[in-house]
Amino acid sequence: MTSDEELLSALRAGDLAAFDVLYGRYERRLFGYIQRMLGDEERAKDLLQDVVFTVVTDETFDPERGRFGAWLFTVARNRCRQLTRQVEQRGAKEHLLDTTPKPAIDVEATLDRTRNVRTAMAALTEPQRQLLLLKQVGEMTYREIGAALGVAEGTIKSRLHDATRALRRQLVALGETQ
Amino acid sequence: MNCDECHPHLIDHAHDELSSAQVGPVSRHLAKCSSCALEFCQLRADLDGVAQVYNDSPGVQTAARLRHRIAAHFAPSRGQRVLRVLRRPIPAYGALAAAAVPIAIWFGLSASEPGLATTTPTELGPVVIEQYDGRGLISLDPHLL
Repeated sequence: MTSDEELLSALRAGDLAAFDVLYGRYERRLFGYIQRMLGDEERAKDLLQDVVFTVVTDETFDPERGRFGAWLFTVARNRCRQLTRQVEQRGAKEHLLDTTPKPAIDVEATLDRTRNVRTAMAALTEPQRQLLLLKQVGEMTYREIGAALGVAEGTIKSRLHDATRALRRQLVALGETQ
Repeated sequence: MNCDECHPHLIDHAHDELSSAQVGPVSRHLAKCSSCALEFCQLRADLDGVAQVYNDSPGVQTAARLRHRIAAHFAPSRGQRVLRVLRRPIPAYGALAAAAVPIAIWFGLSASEPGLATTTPTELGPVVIEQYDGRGLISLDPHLL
């Protein structure tokens, strides 16, 4: 299978088919992550476009220094934080960062498991949620998360252990045994 | 490895963060210890649930708009497009080359063969036989042959 970095090189050489493959690999996860960060579907769609466009057109990315996926989610996280701060400054905090589960998705209404996971995630602290999202949705390694957050790898590992245990406790409290 | 030794590694294992040296002993313990295996499965299910929940499609319109922006940014120049077509490894190029070889050989052979007589009998004119004694070959004007 062609690597992300090879696809990016092909895209920069003008091969749009490479973009289709690359976008297909990250579309759902990246959108899910941004949507969770912003809590607003339309803003998430706009930001998704900006993030992907920024990343693929940024010539400073060096594949030798890290994976494309980790870079993509790092940029997405930074842009989400930037946007959130801007909105907060405008006094519209209630519009973003809504930690209550988002009720708009049909599957949520029908699947208890999905609802419980969302509820459990909403009950975690924001740093714990961030770590779990970057790890599970962004598929980043401890090292990559540490580099993105400017924190030691060991610290990330310890915090993720806490977050994982906290998630389990919340799910058990919601009646999830498996 | 016993349960006490295995337990600290379960979360890292669920996050796929164990080193290759650690995976073997942990996996072997999980294969024989139902208690640890159950705890590991629960952790995996929790984490997989997170990945599945935050996995939404932004829709085809978003994808189409983004692709349009990308296409406009990376659109190759006319020269680049021509170069790309020429460089493209199309099998037809090979077939074309393979067909050209025998054709070239045929032309080459045709050009090197001595020309066959193309004169008609009427161009030869009358054959003049002079002093033929019936023992040798008929002597003909060489330019007629």
